[in-house]
Amino acid sequence: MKNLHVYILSFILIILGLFIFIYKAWVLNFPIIPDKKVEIWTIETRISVQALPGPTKMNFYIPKELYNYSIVDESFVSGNYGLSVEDEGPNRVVSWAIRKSKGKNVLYYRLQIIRDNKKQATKSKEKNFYQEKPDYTDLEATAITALLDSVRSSSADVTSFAIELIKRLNDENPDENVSILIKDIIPGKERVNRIKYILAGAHIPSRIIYLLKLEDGVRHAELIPWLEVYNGSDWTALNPRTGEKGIPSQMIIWSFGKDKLISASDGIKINDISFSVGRSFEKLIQISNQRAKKLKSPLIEYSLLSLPLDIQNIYRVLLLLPLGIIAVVFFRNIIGVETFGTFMPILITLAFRETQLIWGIALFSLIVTLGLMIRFYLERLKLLLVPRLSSILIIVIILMMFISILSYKLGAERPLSVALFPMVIIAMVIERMSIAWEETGPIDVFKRGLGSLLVAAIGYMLMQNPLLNHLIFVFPELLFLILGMLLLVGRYSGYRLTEIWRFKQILT
Amino acid sequence: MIFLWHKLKEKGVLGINKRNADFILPYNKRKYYPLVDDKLRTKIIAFKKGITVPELYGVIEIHRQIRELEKILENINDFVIKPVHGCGGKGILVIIGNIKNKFKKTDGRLIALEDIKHHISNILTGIYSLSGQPDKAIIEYRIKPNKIFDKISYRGVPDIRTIVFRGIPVMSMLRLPTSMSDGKANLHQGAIGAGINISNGITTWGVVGNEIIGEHPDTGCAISGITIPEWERCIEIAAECHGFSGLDYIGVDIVIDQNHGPMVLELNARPGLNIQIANKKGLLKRLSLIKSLDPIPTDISKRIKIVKQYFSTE
Repeated sequence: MKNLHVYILSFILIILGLFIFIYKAWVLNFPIIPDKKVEIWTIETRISVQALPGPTKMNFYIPKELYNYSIVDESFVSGNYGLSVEDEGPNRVVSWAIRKSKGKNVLYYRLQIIRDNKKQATKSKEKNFYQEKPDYTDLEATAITALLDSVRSSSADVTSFAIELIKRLNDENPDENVSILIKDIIPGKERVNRIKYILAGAHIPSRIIYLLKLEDGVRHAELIPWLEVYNGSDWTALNPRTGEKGIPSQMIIWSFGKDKLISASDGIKINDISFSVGRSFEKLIQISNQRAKKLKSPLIEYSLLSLPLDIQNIYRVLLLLPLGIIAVVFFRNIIGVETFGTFMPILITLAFRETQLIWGIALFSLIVTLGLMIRFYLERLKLLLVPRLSSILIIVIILMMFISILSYKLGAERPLSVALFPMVIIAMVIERMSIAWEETGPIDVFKRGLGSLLVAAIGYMLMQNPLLNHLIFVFPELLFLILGMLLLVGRYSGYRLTEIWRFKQILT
Repeated sequence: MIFLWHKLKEKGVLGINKRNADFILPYNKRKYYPLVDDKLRTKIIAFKKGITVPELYGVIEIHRQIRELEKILENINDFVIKPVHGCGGKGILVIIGNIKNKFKKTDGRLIALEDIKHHISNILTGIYSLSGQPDKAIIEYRIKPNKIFDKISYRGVPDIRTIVFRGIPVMSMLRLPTSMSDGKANLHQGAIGAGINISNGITTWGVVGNEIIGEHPDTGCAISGITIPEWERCIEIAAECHGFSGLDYIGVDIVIDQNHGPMVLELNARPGLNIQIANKKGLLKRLSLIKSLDPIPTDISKRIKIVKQYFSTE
């Protein structure tokens, strides 16, 4: 009954910890691996306009969702213009409006994105696209009908039909019909529109999309017109020059189906629109944090990352203690290693943080041994407890001082850090050891002393592990997991491993 | 490793985790701990309940009372002075005789009354107490171990540790001082733990550390086959200690005096598990049996009957 209660409680804690961890890692994309830097692309759109006096309005299409990329941050610089952003089908439209405009203005739109392979643009709910056959001129009609018939005979479905058509239109030695159709049409936007025009003759819905190439340091990037055809259920992107399917890598779709990205009311003249693309590397944790803020997740608003940096750093150390505690609990209750005091090994571990492991163990052993010798001498003086402890404390400080000075004179750097050892802890260790020496004998003192050092060393390795270090700080909810596991160990009533050795004699 | 684990489990060997989780935590209420942790209180209550304890000649709690020492020692020849909260045998003064106002120590040296007073004064200031708190000194009867132990102990006083669960003695061992343990009956320091057949009080074999031995290393005499005098009384006393301690899982330490028979020395609320090694037997089967008994007979003789019926070592 008692056990069931503990099991349920620890189960809830473990599930809770894991759930928040998984949510943060997979949904909010917090990095599981420490210091992972990610590519972050910054796209800046600069629109310079010349406005006549009077009210003016201007619409500009921007991406709503990106395929394979996530929007981390975006911002607008609108000057005196009023700004509104609205969804419009697969695009978003920014409207800048002003009642009394005057002269030249520059408007900015800044977008930051990162690669996110899981990210899929949501499919449009619109399903039925019907394409009217345009009114072709007689000449066009003859050529298009002949071309489409010939393409139809060598294609199987909408996509292959479009690909075949694009190939023919781009043929180096075009046949007569093609020559008529693409005469005077310059490659680019006009070419895509021409393909659309011809595809419409076969009732195939198609649209123009604009791609932006992600290339570091480009100041005046051009949007690349691309073609998409609708096969009855999905839109397929096709290269208008080669007929190749899909979008080249390192490209994002800026807009769907909009011939002109920017439109303005009378009285405003768009002088220039330019895209600049830049790449930077940032720590994933910052980006995740930024993005989570955008999602308005309460997990972030009330997380450690929202604290000032100096306080964050305190928690970086504090959150390491549970890792040491795991080592202590595991070694004491499962393995059965005896130590001095319950949390003494963790305190020793904290001391090791400053001196590194090997030097830490060496210096610790040295000071404790010397201190113990002096403590045995004090034993003869029969001092009362508090003055005795205080004397040991002062002796420990003198010993540390001595070691630091001596090592400096000898040219060793590391032992200088001995001064960072918590001397109160060492004084207590010495006192406990000397009492244990009297009570249970020197063998026991060595056993427990080595046990304490072993647990401290393991604890140190856990606490210095960069992965664990990072995980516990970014995902402090793992504390629930640790707590749940500790509750389970609290009801563990099996043998400690060392007991097997201890009781072995009973079996003979 | 896993093989040994199963073997131990089969044998019913009790581990520390299980002892704490299944016996000490549920059966020993925290509020009764101070009674057993304070040897003076244990002694007084046991005495009131009619259990034989080393006679208390006097307690000195404050310095002013030291003046009364002469009065306390008026009619006694040999005695022991010890701190109430002392441990590891520190601060214990044993006087074996009184010659012309001088007191004879175990090593034969004579000391004056003033020296004893000084020693008591030291005890009161807390020199021998672990926590450094001011302590009390007690003056009590000097135990003279039964002659039967002379051959199998090196100085000191051998004692009998018995685990008592819900008022029924479960397992016993005899602790014999050696030269290695410096005359102390402390297994950690090298004293011998000898298994006892709890149904008849005959010793089985001895263990030092993890090694099984047949003879005492200092005297060379056989440890096994010795019948402990007044054994029935020993386990009766152990069972009675359960009544006043309020603790359901205790270790009772008993000494057998030449003149007064079995006496209770102290109780332990967290008795160790070495008793299993000395007896080469796990505690768990016996404990489970008692756990399933409901109700436990209140009559001591009926409880002893249970011990004899179930816990005989073959």
